[in-house]
Amino acid sequence: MFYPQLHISPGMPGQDWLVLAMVMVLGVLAALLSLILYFLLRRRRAERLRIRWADIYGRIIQRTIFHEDAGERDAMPVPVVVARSLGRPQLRQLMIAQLIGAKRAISGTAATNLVQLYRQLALDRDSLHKLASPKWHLQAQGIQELATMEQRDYLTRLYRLTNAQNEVVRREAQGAIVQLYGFDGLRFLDVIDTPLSEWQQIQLLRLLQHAIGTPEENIFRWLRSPNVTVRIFTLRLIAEQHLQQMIPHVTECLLDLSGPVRLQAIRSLGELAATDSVRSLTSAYQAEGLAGRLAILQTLGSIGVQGDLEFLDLQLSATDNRIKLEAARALARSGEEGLQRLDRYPQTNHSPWKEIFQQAKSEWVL
Amino acid sequence: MKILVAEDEPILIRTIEMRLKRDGHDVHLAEDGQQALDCLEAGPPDLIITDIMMPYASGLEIIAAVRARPWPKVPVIILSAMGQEDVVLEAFKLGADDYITKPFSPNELSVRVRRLLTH
Repeated sequence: MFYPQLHISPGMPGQDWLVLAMVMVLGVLAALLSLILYFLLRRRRAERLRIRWADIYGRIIQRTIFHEDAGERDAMPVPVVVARSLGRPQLRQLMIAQLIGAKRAISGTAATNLVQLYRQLALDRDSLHKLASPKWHLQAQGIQELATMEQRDYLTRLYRLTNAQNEVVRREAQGAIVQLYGFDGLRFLDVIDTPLSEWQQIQLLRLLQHAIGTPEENIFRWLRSPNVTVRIFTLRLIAEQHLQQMIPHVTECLLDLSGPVRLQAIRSLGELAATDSVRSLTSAYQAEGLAGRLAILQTLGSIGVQGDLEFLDLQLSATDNRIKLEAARALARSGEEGLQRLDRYPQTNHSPWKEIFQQAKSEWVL
Repeated sequence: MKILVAEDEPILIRTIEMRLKRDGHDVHLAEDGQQALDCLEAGPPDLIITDIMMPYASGLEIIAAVRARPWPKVPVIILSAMGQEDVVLEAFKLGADDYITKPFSPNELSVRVRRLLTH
């Protein structure tokens, strides 16, 4: 076997280079280690400082929460050292974060005190400053802060962002406006040209659950919005708020050019238990595709179709078994006469009708 | 009265502590579920206030642990967030006595504590 051998004689110039290279590498390593150590120590010091100030701010916030209980109604007492600490942006952000956390958990006069402290320390300016940031996550954060701290004075700034290009910013701004102004906040529906996502619609409806007032006067406009998702959201809102007087307008939407809008109109009529709309629903049936037809049959089943069982009877002979099942369900739910119709159906003892009818009847019994 | 408060939000737990101490109670704090379970080893408190979502053990586990002990009934108040209705129902099934939804007023909590302790 041949093993190559490395011959380095003491007098070779290569040795100096090797030593020099090793010294340089060691030097770079030492410098790197020193830098890492420096940054670690700096980070540790910053963390210790953050914990210390978080504790101090926590105490200030607690005192603020019980401020009124002690019979004091003037400005919140903030020690000079704390006021001075708030000259540092990181510590201002820490105070904002603590106040936001407390405000989300506390209500009543204690919450009012927290808002007062936020304004007293001019922290609203920091939140506003974030709105002007080019970074979307800072904008979203600023919006959340202003909404949580109930800063209604900044309506114009927030309102502008309801149609922002960034989806998260837009969503936060729309949520904030509704949180602060209830139904009046929905004015942004007049102008938005971007779609309202499913998730956003659910969020807005949730925020409006306990809102005072009614959106009625604007609904006509929103039902004619060129934005399809605004029309869908409005139909959902009508159902969610049980606006029975809007049923004729929802019924008109059965003729909307957009399929998803028609589908939502059908569902909303079901949620509103709009018995007067049975004729309109059955008239719209033929023009609908499978999803629309299934939705109409489900709606008819949920609102009851005492006078139009013949229509359901006809659907039992449809080629699609899903249609048969929904028609059978609607008949079963309509009561005794509907059940008799299922029994009298010519193919009642043949597959698949036999299984479908059994399923529909068993659900009705439940 | 000895009250055990289990809540992982630092400002909130201190606020509850301050409110209850003002009412003259002896307040024991647990900043996570495990600490609350450990506190129970020392004996029964007169009342428990617990958050539902906490690290290491949930409020539901704390209720179950309390009810599994051969103690006279210890009233439990649940602190829940909006939209946790299902969990609150589960807590009642396990034996919770009352619940309060965040955000809540410390004064309201004080009244509920008083009501449960005088029953």
